Amino acid sequence: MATYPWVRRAHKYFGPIWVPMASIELLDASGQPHGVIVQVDSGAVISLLRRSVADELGLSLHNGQRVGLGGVGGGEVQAHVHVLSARFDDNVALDLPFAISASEAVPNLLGRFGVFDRLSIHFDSVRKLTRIVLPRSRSGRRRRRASQ
Amino acid sequence: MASADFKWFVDHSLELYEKYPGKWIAVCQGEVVGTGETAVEAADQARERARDGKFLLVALDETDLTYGDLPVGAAGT
Repeated sequence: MATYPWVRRAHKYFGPIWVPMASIELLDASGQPHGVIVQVDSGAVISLLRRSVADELGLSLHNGQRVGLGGVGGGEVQAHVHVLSARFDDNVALDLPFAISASEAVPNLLGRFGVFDRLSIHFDSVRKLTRIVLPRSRSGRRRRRASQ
Repeated sequence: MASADFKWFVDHSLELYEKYPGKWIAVCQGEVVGTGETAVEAADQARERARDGKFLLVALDETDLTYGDLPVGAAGT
C-alpha cells in the first residue's frame, strides 16, 4: 500500500485548500524511472500528463490514439493516449493509460480509466491522506488470510 | 509510504506554489534543484545538481487547472 499525504495550495477564491496528490515513477523506454507528482482525481475520466512529460520520457506524442478531452464549462483538450509503465511507492510497476496533451496548460492527473478499476484508491478526508492499494498487496493479503 | 522528496514537497507546498507559480520544479533531498517552463527544463537542471541523480518533478499550476478557479456560485449553488 502506498500512502500519500494531501498537499496544501492556495486557491483564488477559497484560500488554502487540500489536494490529493501522489508521486509516481514513469519508466522510459530504457526502464529509467522519472518521478512525477500527479493530482489524484476521481473526476477525471483518464489520467493526463503535459506535453513536456512525454518529451522527458522520450515519447513521440503523436504515436498514441488521438482523443479530445472535455472539462468543466466546455472546451476541449487534444491529447494522445499512451500506455506507460508506472511505479508507485511500493515498487510495483503497472502499465497504465495516460492521455498526453500537446499543451502545457493542463494539470497532471491520475484519473479513472484503467486505474481506478485496477487499484483500490481511498480518499481519507479526515486524515488528509490518499491510500493506493496495488493488486499485489491485495492478493498478498488474501493469500495471508487463506493460509491462517 | 510516500518518498522523502514527496513529503518535503507536502511540507513546503504553500511556499513553493507562491515562489514558483506556473513553473515546473525538481525536488531532491530537501531542496529545489531545477525550475523551468517545462518538465525537461527542470529535469535538465536537476540532472546537474541532484546529488544521487534522483529527483521528483512537479508542475506548480498557477491556477486550479483541473476545474478552473470557479467563482463562488458558479457551481449552481
